Amino acid sequence: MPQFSIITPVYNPPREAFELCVRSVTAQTNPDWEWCLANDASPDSWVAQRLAELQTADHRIRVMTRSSNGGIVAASNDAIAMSSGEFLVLLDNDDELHHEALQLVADVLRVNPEYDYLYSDENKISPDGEHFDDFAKPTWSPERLLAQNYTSHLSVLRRSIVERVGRFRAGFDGSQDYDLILRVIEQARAVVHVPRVLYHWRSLPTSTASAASAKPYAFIAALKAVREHLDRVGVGAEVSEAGPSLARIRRTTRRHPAVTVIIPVDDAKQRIFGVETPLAGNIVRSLVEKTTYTNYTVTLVSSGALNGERLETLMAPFEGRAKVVSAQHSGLAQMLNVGLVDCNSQHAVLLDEHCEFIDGDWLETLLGYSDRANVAAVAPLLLDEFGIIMSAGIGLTPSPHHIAAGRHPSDFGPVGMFAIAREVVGVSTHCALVDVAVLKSVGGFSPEYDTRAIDIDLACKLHRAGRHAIITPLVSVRSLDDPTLTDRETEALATRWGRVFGNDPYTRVDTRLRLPVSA
Amino acid sequence: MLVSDESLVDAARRDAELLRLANELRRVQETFQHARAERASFELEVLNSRDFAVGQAANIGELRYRLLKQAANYEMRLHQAQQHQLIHDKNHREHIARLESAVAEVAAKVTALSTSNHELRVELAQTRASTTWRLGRVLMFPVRVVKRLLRRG
Repeated sequence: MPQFSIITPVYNPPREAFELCVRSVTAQTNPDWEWCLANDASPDSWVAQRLAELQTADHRIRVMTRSSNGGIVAASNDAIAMSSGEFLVLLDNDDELHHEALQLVADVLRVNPEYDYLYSDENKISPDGEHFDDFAKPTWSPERLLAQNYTSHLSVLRRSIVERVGRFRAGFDGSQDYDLILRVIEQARAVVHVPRVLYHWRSLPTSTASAASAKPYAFIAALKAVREHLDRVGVGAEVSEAGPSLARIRRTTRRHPAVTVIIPVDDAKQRIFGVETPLAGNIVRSLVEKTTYTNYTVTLVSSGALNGERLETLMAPFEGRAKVVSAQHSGLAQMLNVGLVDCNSQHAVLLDEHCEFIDGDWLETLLGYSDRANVAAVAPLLLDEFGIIMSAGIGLTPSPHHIAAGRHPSDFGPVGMFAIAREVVGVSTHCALVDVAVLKSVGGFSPEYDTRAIDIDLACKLHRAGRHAIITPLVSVRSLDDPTLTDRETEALATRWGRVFGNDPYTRVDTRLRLPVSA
Repeated sequence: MLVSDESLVDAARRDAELLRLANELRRVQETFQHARAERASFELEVLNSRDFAVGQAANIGELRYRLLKQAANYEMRLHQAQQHQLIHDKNHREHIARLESAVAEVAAKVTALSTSNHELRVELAQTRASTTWRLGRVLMFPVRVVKRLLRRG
């Protein structure tokens, strides 16, 4: 029994592309494979002839010919029926594998034989044969997978699980791979990303590689696959279109856990749209007016700058649900820590007084993600007063920065990543729902950094503890405070975390805005 | 209505007891508040200690990483230096061999020239010692005298 069965449905591929596909398989440095090709009654006569030649030339190549055209799902299932390998490798009839693809996958499996699903980076091949558009994928990100089929190619799936879930399903043409992957991950013990380009996707005018809108029926099938997946795993959610090949998942929260909103308050004032405004009063007003969630209490962490009367005024709108704890002569980190220590609920919202709410259902939306495995924090998009993104999560590649800072919210970003909820290494704690126990387990915020560098430090600490955060563009919060790091802060952080910078597992591309160089 | 001395005493006792209990309650509440504040302070210390431990571990990790990176860098530079040394040695040896070969070549040429020189000297001596040369000198004597005179004149 070979380790790998390559599954390829064949239907009238461009001849030259097919020959390159054949060459990429036969050139594999790992010989432990079989290639199962199902000819879906291709009308071009050369196809059957060439497949027969291949079968004769190499005993590892197995061919079956369907008597009538059944579509990609039926042909793929016929190819699976022929296979005997431990893992199925999905390959389209006009695409190419990297010559070391199977060897690298085998190496990863040798390290951990429990992996049931593996995926790699991929790129595209132009009609001229040029490789372009490398997709440096994130490490395993189940939330992102719900919004887009980012794992796609190369996908290597354990055959026993594929058989258990019933192979490819009819009715998902164009997104049959996505549907299969979603069903496989429900059963998989472990999923892993191989961070190398092992698959070259040929960009033909009709293929989904060339344009997301080339096959609209595929996207409709993809939304259906996601809806059914969420139904199977018992998550109530509304699934809609967020952009080209991007889904928006809005969870309908059934739980209403108690949440503590921790607000460090000072006597700061700032001009908001030209009006000098006390920030503490502004955030309290915004919180009371906008929030539709009811099961929350408020902890005002006082720096000592506000007197008792003013604190009473701030607490009044919460009708007994607010209290004040004192953290005199403390910096921001220690004020947040005092709030965390005082907190008795599982979830807390860390809220900076520079913020203002835009959406009413912000807390319900954030809570929708809080029960995902290993999630330590969930945050909304942070916008400045002109509606430009300040932070869409924290990225560490090539150095710590706030993702998408300076971009417009309508900018989808690389591979649509700004438009979807996804895993990130950390988030800005201007407004973030956090798991209190997890934050306490890593020592809360570090008093060593008394600026917004605490967010990056916390992100690195959580990453080290095997946790991550989720950023969701479904809700936005306006902030009047710029979280951008100075070079000095970055240098200070590098003495602790320099080795992590440039190695962000979730955001492997540089998302910093490149401003045009002035003349 | 008349109130007996006994009931007045009871009321006074009750009031005193209430006052005592209220004081007791206040003291307990104060102790409780104090204990809560102390607990929060301890918890904050625990949190900070944990952060310190995590931070130190991270600092050590970073130092170890930099050390290993630097060691790897030095290792690479040492390897490069060794490679350069090997190449340099090889080139040097080849250059010496080329020079030695050139010296040998020149020495051989010198030997050959000296042999050729000696042979020519021998040949010259033999020519001068020959009868033909001597006869020629005798025959040419008057010519030489005339030439000498002409030069003097």
